[in-house]
Amino acid sequence: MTDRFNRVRRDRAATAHPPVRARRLTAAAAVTVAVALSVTGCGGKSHKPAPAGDAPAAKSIGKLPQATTYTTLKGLGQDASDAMADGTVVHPKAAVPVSATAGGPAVAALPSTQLGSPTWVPVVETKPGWDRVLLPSRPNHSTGWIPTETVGLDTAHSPYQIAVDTSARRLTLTRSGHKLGTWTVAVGAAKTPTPVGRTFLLASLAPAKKTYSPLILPVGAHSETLDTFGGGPGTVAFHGWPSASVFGKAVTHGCVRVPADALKKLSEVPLGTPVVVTA
Amino acid sequence: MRSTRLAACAVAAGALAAPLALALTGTASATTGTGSAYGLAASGLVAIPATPAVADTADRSLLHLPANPLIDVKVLHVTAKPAFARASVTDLSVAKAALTAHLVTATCTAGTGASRLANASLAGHRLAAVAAPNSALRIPVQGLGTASVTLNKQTRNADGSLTVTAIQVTLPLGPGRTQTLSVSSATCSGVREEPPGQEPPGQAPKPKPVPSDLPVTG
Repeated sequence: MTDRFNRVRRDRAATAHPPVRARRLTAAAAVTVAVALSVTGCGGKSHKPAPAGDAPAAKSIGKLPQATTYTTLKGLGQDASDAMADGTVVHPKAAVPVSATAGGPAVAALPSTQLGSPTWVPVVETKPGWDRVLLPSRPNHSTGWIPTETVGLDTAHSPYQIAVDTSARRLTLTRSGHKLGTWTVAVGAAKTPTPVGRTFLLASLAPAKKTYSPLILPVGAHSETLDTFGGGPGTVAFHGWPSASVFGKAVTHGCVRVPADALKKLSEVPLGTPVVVTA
Repeated sequence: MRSTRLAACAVAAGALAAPLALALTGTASATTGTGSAYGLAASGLVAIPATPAVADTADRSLLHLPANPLIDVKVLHVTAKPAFARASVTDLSVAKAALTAHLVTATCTAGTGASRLANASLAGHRLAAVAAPNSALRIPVQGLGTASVTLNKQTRNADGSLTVTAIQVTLPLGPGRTQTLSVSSATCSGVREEPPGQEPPGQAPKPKPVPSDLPVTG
């Protein structure tokens, strides 16, 4: 992906404020809203989410902003929890529409790949026919609802959890609740802190130039203080570092630098696995 | 359908249950074993018989419990067939114990049980989504005392079948008096292959590193 492409993507997402988006919606999307309203009419307070139906949003999915590490999405919910998700992860086999509410109109599309790796996102809430997932876009903590019944969606379970304590500068990896290891790591410096909250392993990259790490494991979060970094979108990642002297220090631009044995263990952790960063 | 028993929104419940009921007919004869399930049961000050309960090959949904001063839920769904049973309860709330859960599921397949909780907490204490069998907890509840909680309770019955109950809570109500609550219970025995679409999710794959680079925040 070229930088120009990324910029275009960002611009489009950024201009999609509600009045413009409303005009762009097709008649089919309006039908979705009508269906949602008629269904929630039954039982009043029960708020049963609308069935995904035949996903009229799918027709216009190509026009929606993409939920990737390069984009900023507006109008979606924020994940307020910092508890570990239960490990349920989903992979869309084709791009799926993303809504702000279960049964609501699509406001973004979650593509089937992220940075060349298959898209796997953690499920943080479920309703019949809908999963609420963490998204890899800005702003941090973005979540969206995806329909589970009308599209090809692989569901799997990751027994792993990754916890980063930026105060203690410790990373802890667990599998099925058992600790696999705890390592002293380098975290974001005071002016470029590692963002706190709940995110997930987004991709596994083997860069051609292994300047500082043989493996880069981007997560769904971005630096809150740097809009871009090195030409990239400011994505936070786990990666190695040639010098052990950094471990235990708050010296990075937001990434978490980990020792080689931690990186080896992390390389086996499935994409979509929840990552919780606490200060 | 048994929809005559259900109240107001029975049509909606029926619509939920129908696809599952249809799915059952093709596979039921292929296996042997038993299955039964219930959504919720309570004993003590508030007594609620196993509701809704199914056995053999059946599938039932219920929107809301009969009126009671203790427990509120949104949807109870139970399904059973030979060697398989599943119970799920959505939006459970027990105000007295500050117990809430978005989804409580117990599944029993050919004598093997599993349970899952989504967004479950008791008196501010987060309950594990996937707990080891018979995980026992004691959690203080303001104004009541110490609640005894068993997550993923698994018991082997005299007939060889297994019962898995996702949450069992015992609340103290004063000297010698307790309130017990069982949420999402499934019992099964026998051997079968799971029909497609009902398998518990498999383990997520180990990632393959992609030859690529992204300038990340160092």
